[in-house]
Amino acid sequence: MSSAWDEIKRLASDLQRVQLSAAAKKLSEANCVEVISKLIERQLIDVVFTRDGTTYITRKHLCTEYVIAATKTIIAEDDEFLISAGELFARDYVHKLQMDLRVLLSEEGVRSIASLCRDWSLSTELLRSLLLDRLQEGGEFTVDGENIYTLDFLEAHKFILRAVLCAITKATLLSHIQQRVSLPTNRFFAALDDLLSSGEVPGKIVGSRTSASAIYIPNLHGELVNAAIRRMFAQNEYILFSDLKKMGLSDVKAAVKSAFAKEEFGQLRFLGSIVVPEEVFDTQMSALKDELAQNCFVDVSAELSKSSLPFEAEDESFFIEAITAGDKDLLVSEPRLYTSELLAKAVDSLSEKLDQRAGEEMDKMDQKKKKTAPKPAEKDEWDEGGKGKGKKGKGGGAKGRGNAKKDEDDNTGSGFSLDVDEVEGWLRSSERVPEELIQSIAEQIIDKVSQSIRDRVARLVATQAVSSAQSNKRSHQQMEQQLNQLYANISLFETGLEKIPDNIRDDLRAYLQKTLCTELAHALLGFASDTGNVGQMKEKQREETIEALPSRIKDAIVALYASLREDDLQNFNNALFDLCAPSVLQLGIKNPDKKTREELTNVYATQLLAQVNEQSDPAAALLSSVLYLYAKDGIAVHASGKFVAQLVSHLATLIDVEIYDLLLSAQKLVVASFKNKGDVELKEQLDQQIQALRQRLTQG
Amino acid sequence: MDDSAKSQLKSIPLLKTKAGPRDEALWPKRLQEELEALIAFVTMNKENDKDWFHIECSDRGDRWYGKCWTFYNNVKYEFAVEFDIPITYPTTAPEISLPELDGKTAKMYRGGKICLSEHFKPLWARNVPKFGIAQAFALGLGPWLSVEIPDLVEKGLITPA
Repeated sequence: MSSAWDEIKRLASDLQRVQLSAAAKKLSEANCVEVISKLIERQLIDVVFTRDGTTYITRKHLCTEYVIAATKTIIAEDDEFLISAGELFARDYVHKLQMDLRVLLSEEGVRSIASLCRDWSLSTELLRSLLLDRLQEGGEFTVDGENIYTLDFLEAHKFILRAVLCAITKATLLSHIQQRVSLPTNRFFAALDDLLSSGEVPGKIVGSRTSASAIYIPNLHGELVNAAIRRMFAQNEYILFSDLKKMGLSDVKAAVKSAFAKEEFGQLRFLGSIVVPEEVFDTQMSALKDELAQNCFVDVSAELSKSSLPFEAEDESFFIEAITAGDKDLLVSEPRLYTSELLAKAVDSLSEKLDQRAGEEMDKMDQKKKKTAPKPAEKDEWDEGGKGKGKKGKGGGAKGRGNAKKDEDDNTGSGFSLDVDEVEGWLRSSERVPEELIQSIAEQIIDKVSQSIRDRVARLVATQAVSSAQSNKRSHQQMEQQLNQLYANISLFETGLEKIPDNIRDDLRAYLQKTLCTELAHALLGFASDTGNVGQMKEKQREETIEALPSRIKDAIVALYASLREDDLQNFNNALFDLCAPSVLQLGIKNPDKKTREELTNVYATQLLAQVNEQSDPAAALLSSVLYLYAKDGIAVHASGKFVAQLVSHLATLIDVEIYDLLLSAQKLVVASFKNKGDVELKEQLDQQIQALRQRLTQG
Repeated sequence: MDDSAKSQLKSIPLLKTKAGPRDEALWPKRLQEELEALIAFVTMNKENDKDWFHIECSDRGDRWYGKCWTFYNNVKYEFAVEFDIPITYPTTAPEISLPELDGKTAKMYRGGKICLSEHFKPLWARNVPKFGIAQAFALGLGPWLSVEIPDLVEKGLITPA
């Protein structure tokens, strides 16, 4: 492709060439003659013909040609004239110019060519060709660029330069020297080179000649500097970098090295702003190390400022480096150093605060747990697909507990960490750590301290979990105990109901459902939902509590509560056993056998007899008596005072007439005393009656 | 078409490549052919002493500019000439323009583009891609100058160079 464009370029230039070339056709001779004639006729040109009429030239050209020829002749024939740059000059004029130039130059030493041209109204080329080219042959003058110099002038200035160089005692810019000597750059360097070659320059040039920062350093200067350095050191036993810089020395180390002998130089230590003898450095180092060993930290800046030497901030890092090179365990917080021992002390000092903080974290977590308590139970249901309850066994107990524990673990995990400001505050109040190091130490120990708190919290949680697991276990056992007790009683009374006549059986059954069965249902609900005082809840609250339970438990509890309203206890029994099943509440429930029931009835009878004797309230004592009489007969009855009348009437067939009469009369008195609460006599009679009844029953 | 135009046309070599300035592959070849045709055309003009234009192009060959002139009553009238190669070239003929004459004649579109005869466009269309810049000048600009310039001179609308 590029060859195509090259070809195009070539063709384009060919086109230009062709276009610019002259046309092929020229005018014929006749035409030319005719044209010239016409021009002459119109007096547009003025030409001179030769005699034979064949050639002609313009007048101007004629003059010029003639003049040129004439001039050539003149020069050839007469030495007095010469031609230069198309102009004719008389030699006298040239000589005069030369004389003038000589005089000028001998007076002034230097003259610019431009000024000569201006003064003599000559062009530069003319001046050059007439004078300058001839001038240099004499050997007195030099033309350099735009100026003409006499050699004397240059020589004189060279001597001035030499004098200046000898007189200088400190490093000086070449440009300043050049200004002083008043020479243009190339002449200046020419003179300098001259002097250098003849060995007359008592110093050296540093830097490139073309750069503006080239310096001349006299030899003397070096010697003076060395003497000054040695004097400084002898007086003070140290050398400050700043003093050396004032002397114009940029490379401090090199300057000091040249001032001292090799062995002496080896005994010096270079710091950030000062040079000190090695012993001084070592002394200072041991002082710092002692301080560090004593207090577990050292403030290098403060220590150095106590010294008699003028140490600066730049010197501190040298000491710090030297100390830390010897001991890698040191921690640096410039300009301070401290040991890991100090860190350990700091952490120890915070022990109490850490315990406190751990306790606070635990409280926070407990509050959080309470707020989210119902959820873990549901989550558990979903997570395990409702199957896993069996897996938990007796130890895990309530479903809620296991998950809550998991939540606690999350809380004490990687999420928790301390704020640096908090740790700094603790350190400040503990006053075991110097104020300047508090920030650095806080940053160093924060991870350790956060982890320590996490560990403490984990320990607390573990302790809590153990105790809660223990309490879980306890409550499960308690519930089972309570359940079996209540259920035993219910079964007892249920059996007793069978021997009760129809007319009061249903009422007693309903009473049983309303009391013991309901109590049992509430206890189970409380256990299942881990709430207390279910019996005191309002209906709505209870329903909400039931609603929050996992579905399997909920259904069983709903069935249980529904059975309380039914006409027999069969569904209650079924619902109860469903609820206590291993897949639901995992409570062991036993249906007491016949023998157990008999035993329990006897126990019940004994308890009732004891109550009869102990109860002060006559109505209560009457009820207990009635129930005792039934129990004695193997019929456990659960009833309240309002059933007394009906129960007594049924007793007629079961007991002695005497006792029966006692009961009847007591009953009447009780009823009467309810109606006439203020009647003291009635009350006395009642008491007597009850006492008589007691006696009779006790007798057997 | 008059005889002179015809004879001019005969001497200009015809072009072969059909490519516009946006055709990266073939445009260089077309440009070469254009330049060769122009060289032949100018050479012939010089030989016949009828050299009447001088043009050059940009590096890519898509912009052309230069000068053209004509004589009327032995007086030379010279004008700047310029044109761009249209994207659809050579199907579309280039629009040659003489900016200095803008607004002076009815035979000109706005911007100085010359208005060519009714014969030109069909002739061009029939001969795509054989006609190029040289032919456009020979058949378009040349005749236009020879007709229009005398008219403008007579009306006093232009003066000699």
